[in-house]
Amino acid sequence: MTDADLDPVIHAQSRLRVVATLAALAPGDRLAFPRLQQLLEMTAGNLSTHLRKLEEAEYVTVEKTFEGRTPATYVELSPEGRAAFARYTRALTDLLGGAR
Amino acid sequence: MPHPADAPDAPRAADAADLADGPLDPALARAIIEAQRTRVRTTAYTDDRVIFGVWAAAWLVGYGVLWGTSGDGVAAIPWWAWAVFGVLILSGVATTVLHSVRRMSGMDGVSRRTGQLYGWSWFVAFAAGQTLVGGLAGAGLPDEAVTLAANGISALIVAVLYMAGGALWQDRAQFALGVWMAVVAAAATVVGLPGTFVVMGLAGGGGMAVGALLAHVAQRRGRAARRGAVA
Repeated sequence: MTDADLDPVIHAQSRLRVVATLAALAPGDRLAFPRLQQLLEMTAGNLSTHLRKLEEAEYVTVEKTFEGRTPATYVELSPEGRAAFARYTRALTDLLGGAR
Repeated sequence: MPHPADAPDAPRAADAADLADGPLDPALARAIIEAQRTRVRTTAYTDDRVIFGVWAAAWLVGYGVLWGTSGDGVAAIPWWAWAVFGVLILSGVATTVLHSVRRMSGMDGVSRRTGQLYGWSWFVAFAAGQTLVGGLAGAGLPDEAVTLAANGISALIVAVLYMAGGALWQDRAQFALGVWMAVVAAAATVVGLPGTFVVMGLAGGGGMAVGALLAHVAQRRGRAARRGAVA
């Protein structure tokens, strides 16, 4: 097994950080875009770029909604995304020889 | 839509944005995952150490002051002792609410909804409990019995809601603390004044201090419950 076996959608520093952050939420929880941005210390443009790619892979769902009159965007890891992240961490453990 | 990782000849997802990231090896990947997990657990969910800690302090000091000034009987406790007690309880409420609201900002979903309803349970229970005590006083119950009821009922509400919280978040430590608080509620009332204050302060406040300690251990092991509101 080599690095090439790692899911390329997740295996890039910024996207891994996005996915790892969303995966650390309790199941059923989602984050508003600005809060996610703050937890990642990423620019809005950069985060949007990576979210688009994750959304295309159906790993995250991005919901635009309104809270009163204020637009809000919520980001959540999809079940597919959670499964892909679980596969990714398993592959990572294999690559690292199961050592912690 | 085909799974990008399953397509054998799918191009690597790398593009300008990824190249700007720099290379990623498995060890770094694991470090990133750990760092983000810790970050989310320690900043996006409530910290039980803060909540148990502030309540432990409020009960230990607040009831300590009441006991310390009750030498000549409960009726002789000076107004300032009750004021200190009241301020400590109110700061416990304020700290809990502010901490929960701040941690939950930008969070939506199960934790938020659960936390909101759980938070309201505390408010409703205490509002009803203290109104009930007011009713007892109005019915002519002697002052000393009113004080006993007010404290016993408060401790019982804490006990029930800790047990419920333990059930909600599958947290045995919190459930155990709830059981302990039920014992405290009963004992504080049976002992009678001014011993009630000692039981509430040392056993009740002490129990919460143990709760803060257990939360600290769980936090260090990365096993803290991910809660959305008051512990």
